Amino acid sequence: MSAETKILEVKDLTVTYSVSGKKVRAVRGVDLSLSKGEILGLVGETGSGKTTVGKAVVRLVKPSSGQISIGGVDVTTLSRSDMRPVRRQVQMVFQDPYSSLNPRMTVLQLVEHPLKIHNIGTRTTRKSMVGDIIERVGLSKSVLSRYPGEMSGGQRQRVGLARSLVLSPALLVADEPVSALDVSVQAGILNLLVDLQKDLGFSCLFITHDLGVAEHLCDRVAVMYLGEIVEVGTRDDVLARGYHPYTKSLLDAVPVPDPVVQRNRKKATLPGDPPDPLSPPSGCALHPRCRFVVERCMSDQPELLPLINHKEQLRDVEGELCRSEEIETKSPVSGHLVRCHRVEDAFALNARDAVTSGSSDTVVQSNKELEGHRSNALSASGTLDRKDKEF
Amino acid sequence: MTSLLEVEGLCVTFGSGAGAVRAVRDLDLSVESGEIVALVGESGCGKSLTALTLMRLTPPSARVQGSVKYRGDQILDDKGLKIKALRGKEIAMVFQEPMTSLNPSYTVGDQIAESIRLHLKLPRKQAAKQAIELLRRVRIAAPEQRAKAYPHQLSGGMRQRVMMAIALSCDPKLLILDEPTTALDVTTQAQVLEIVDELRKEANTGVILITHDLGVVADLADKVVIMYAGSTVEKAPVESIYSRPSHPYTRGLLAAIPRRTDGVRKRLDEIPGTVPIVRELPSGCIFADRCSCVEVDCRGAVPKLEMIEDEHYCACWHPQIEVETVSL
Repeated sequence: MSAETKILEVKDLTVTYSVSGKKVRAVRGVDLSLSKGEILGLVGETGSGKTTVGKAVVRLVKPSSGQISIGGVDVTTLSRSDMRPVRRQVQMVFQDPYSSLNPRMTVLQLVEHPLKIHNIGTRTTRKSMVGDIIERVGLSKSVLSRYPGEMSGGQRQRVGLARSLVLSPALLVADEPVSALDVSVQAGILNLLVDLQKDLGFSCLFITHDLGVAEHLCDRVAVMYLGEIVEVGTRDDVLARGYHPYTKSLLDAVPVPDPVVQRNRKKATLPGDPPDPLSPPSGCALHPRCRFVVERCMSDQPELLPLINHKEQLRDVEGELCRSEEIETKSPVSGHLVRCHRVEDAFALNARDAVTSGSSDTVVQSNKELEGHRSNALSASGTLDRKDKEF
Repeated sequence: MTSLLEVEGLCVTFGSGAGAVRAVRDLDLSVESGEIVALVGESGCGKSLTALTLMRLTPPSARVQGSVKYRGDQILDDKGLKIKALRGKEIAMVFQEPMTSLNPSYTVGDQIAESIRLHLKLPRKQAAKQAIELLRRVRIAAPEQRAKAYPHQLSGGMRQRVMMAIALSCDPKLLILDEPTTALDVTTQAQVLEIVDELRKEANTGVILITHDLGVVADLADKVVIMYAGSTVEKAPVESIYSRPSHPYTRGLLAAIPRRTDGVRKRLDEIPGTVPIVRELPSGCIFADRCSCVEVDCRGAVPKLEMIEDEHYCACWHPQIEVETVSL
């Protein structure tokens, strides 16, 4: 990574909500950064604080502490009027294409609105800008006079995208933009987002609960649990294996759309329910549900540390070193961070499970099938393959 | 041998004359005990309406035709008396949205006990006890305390498990699950799916699983019915659907799922256009306007659901039957 200014830099962000007199820390000490043209996926389940982070970035909620810089400018302390020029740089796309578009405005009015607010162009130039962006998002100019109610969900989400991109922002915050859509429509929007990102070069903070979508779209991925980032790194580092026990169980929980693969997978489901954010567990937030829990996890809060620190300790249960090639070649600047006291043990045990589940023959066999199906699979066929050689 | 549930030629129509809308057309379906049949499709394909029709919960304006046999007994009668005796007891249903289908002003324990008292005629105390047992069965921690909770005090996953507990209260023989995990997180979804699988194996319950998630289908289903705009376009055992999808719509659905690609960001295959409004169906094949391999004759007549290989049905004039070169 070069030393160029980051488009977005979030440092030690904490957001506190007050719920019936009690304070809930929805986001706890989150650090994030986004380079130019990068898509960062923020992944997590309901209540993990991913949407709150997105809202804090566009200043829809006020952080209780921490710092957010956009294009090198610290926006946490800016006044409303000073914030205006920055807002032009940061735009948001919302989850629900039905409630995020004013039903009484035509598409032209909706998409033109941000231009008006920022005093850009004249009436005629604005209209041509709107026309251009509408065609960019794959709609025809004939929709300009239509109302949102006359359009399908996919078309509306395209209008939402056009409205955000008409200002040519440097950063797009997309909060679950495809989760309300059917798969066939979702595919179109994802393709569009990839194309637009390539052409316009904006950075994107992509908030999603769908690991398949994150894996398809993002360059880097951050996994959140109960307001904290538990693992962050490149897409391949984070989603290929799941070093953090929570990431691993998320990956295991997503069913693979192939019955042969899905039914032969070893699935480590996470027991219990997500903790109550009003009274978060002591120590590591995951400890009541984690299968690798030791005493230390209950008292000490783990820090988000580079995986390289764990490299030398990567042993299996019998104390044998079982370093994989990938870990050895990892450079210290890759920025793969994991928040877990037991990442090395957890990873070794998970790797062993992958091999010893059932007989290893079936794993090898299903692996071949995997290739045959030219698939697939969040379970990462490669993982099984490499581990087979090791054991 | 009679099936647990046998549906033949089920049609649901709204309105009449020229304005008639056939929301479900000629649906054939059979479910055996211990079998999971998945109804798959996108919004508006009629999958949820099918479930409501089986339970006779359709609005009065819906006209239902066809035959629905439960254990060989016709339950699609004029007054709906037969299904009334079975509903909630032999045939139970879990709805998609657990917040709106639970009553906010009763504790969940009371709501589970209600159906036990109604159908099994147990006294109040015993029913309450059984409610706690059911909560334990759907893996809710501390069921004694949770039984006294109101729905708003529970998380979405717990509410959905309470719905499951209500459905299971009278040991149904057939369970209809309408998008049971759509509102849930993946880890909670995995827990709910485990319960369903256990139920099928241990209690030999037949299950109709309605979903749009082909991952969930791959995990659980034995047979799959793919629906599009009210019609069945493909029906097959689960392995055939995934290894040899024949209808262009099924192929499109499978290709549209974002999945892992080795480093390279591949374009997803999209299905152009949107699902047609059931009122304005095109003539000929209903999928013709969006189909990538459409030919002239597709616009002529409506293709019938025909067997293209063992137990594998497809409604397409040009089904793709070529077997992929997979050495299984």
